[in-house]
Amino acid sequence: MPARDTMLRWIMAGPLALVAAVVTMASMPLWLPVGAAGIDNLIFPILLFPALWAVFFLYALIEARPVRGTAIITAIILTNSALIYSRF
Amino acid sequence: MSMVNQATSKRLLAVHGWSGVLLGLFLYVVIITGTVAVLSQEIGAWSIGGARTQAPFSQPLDAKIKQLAPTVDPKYREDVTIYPNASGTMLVFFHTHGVNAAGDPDDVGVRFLLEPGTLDVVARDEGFGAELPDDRDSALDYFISILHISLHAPNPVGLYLTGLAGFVMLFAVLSGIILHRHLIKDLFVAPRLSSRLLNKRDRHILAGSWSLPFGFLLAFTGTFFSFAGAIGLPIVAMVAFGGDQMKMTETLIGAPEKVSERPADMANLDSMVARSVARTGTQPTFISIAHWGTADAKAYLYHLPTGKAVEASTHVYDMVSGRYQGVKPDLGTRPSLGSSIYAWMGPLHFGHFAGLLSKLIWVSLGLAASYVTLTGLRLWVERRPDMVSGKLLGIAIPMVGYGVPIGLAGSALGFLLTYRTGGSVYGTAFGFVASCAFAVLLAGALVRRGDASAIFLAILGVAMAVLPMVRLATGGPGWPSLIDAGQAVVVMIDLMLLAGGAFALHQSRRGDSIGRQLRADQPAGTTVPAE
Amino acid sequence: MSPVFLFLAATAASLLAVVYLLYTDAKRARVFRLDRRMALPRSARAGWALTFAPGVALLALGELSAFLVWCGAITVLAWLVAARTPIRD
Repeated sequence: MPARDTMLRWIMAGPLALVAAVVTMASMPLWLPVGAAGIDNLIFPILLFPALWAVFFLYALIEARPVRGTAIITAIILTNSALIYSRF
Repeated sequence: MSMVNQATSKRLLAVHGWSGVLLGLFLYVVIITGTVAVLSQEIGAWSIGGARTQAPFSQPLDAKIKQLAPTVDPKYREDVTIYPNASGTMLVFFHTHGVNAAGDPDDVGVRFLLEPGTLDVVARDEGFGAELPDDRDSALDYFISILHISLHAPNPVGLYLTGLAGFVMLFAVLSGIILHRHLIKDLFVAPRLSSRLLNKRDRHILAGSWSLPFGFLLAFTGTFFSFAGAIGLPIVAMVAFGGDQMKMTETLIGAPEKVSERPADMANLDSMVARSVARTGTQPTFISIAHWGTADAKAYLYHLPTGKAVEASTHVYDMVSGRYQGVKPDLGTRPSLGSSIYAWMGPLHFGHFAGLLSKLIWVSLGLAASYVTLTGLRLWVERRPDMVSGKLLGIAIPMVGYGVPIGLAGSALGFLLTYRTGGSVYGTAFGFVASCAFAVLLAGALVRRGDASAIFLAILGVAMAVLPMVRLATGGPGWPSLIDAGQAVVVMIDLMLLAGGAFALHQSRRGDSIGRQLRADQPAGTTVPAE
Repeated sequence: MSPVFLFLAATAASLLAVVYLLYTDAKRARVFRLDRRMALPRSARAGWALTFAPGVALLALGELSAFLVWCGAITVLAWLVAARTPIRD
């Protein structure tokens, strides 16, 4: 179904990639090592945000099967959200 | 030997092209203003005819600050920042931290402007940082920097926009690598002259290939600077500090948890500056004193990189004993990987780590990236000669491509003409807006002509070449007196403007090489090879 | 040695190597039908090694600042050199 695939790809590359990047950044301070000065877990997510977004965006375009891609990105969003939720 | 299959490659090319068309001109605006902003300090000095002091921090600041401190509300002595503007006027800001009318965390306090040489107070303003009157001496360089950082749009919208531009550039670079199958093989193939389309394609790809490494670095660091404050900090603060951005900032910069309020006499700041100058071989660019007048007061002297180093350094002095306490990492209280990587972001983006040499190279990298953006757009237009979108973009490219530099020249003109009357903040902005409006009107008037690049280039050339003369005509000092005063940097900007102007005029007369070639050896109707 | 001198020396050396690569580049010669009768011996590998060698040397000396300006300068200069369309000889 090419029409469905195209729509999924738009959703994946647009809102899903951005949300996935934001949520991954938000959960990173919880599991990244704090480092020598206790700030690595805070600065690395902020530093990596552009890269995370670019990776999710590119993945959305490159993934041959949009259904699988959407499922994977959604799973990443849910896992990270659950991680954040569990801390509050 | 493609990295991806054909369907994916087609999809990537489509997004590469469409994102370029929709956001390419916008991206170009961010790149070209950033290219000019690399020299913002030099442009600031140029605009006011050279700073009036070579070593602003080596003036007797200590006595002056001790005289000013008791005149401000004690709560504003929590933090004192001291830095010079383009003319060498010292800005001394006694402040504490609060939330301004817009609801953003901001500094609030009293700011003094001290005249270079005498250190007499020329202005005293009180309020939030965002509400203090703009500094007239630095109006031009500040205007250009903010244009690059946030396009003068309100925060955080402006930062989102420039961050988006950075992201588009990041994607363009990454997809460019994936798309161009013969990247290495084609590194030395000059633009072919056999057809207009092939020539445009070769130009874009050749410049793009060589620009890949720094295109990536500039886009990545730029996106970081836009999004770090606008998205990263609030979100990470929410997860790690329950939304307390101030607490997170304090943890990041490594502020001590508790400070004593016990009053104490302050040691001599001038002696700390002298020792720091001797240690690093450079003037500090910025000094910050925390907890003035208390037993825990510290002075932080910020120096740009020197020698082999790429990172700037912050030297700490105890304000009670005057003793040197070593170098403070940018983030946190002790050295860490995160802090080291963060310390590289600024130098990599601004290119200010080796003085003028690195700045000039960063300017050329910016020009190369601008060239890649514009040639990419021209290629897209060339592929759609009969479509409305192609025609519209064909008009928009010279309008924006040359219009923004014309606007920047206009802002400089506006500054020069209004500086003596004290209205330079308004004059700079008006000059920019008026010149941009002129470019739009001109594009409208030339709409029937097709490609109006030659006319735009000629106007840009004249505008650039005229600026040094206007500077002299409005009372700016001449070259001999500038060189005598150690302000050769003003002469350098004059020469760059004259050379740039002459180059633009020359290019406008010359036309593009493919056009010449086609006129010379082919009648008409050349074949257009497929991609 | 001052960083500026190191930078200039490294950039000059790399630029020479780039010019060699450009002069001996097979695709460039083919596309522009360049006839190099007295051609240099062709070795792209050696050319690239020579191009990168000054950068490696700067890194080995710990001259990070000079290394970074070298990187920037060489990408721009190499582009400017390569972008000149050769006249058929």
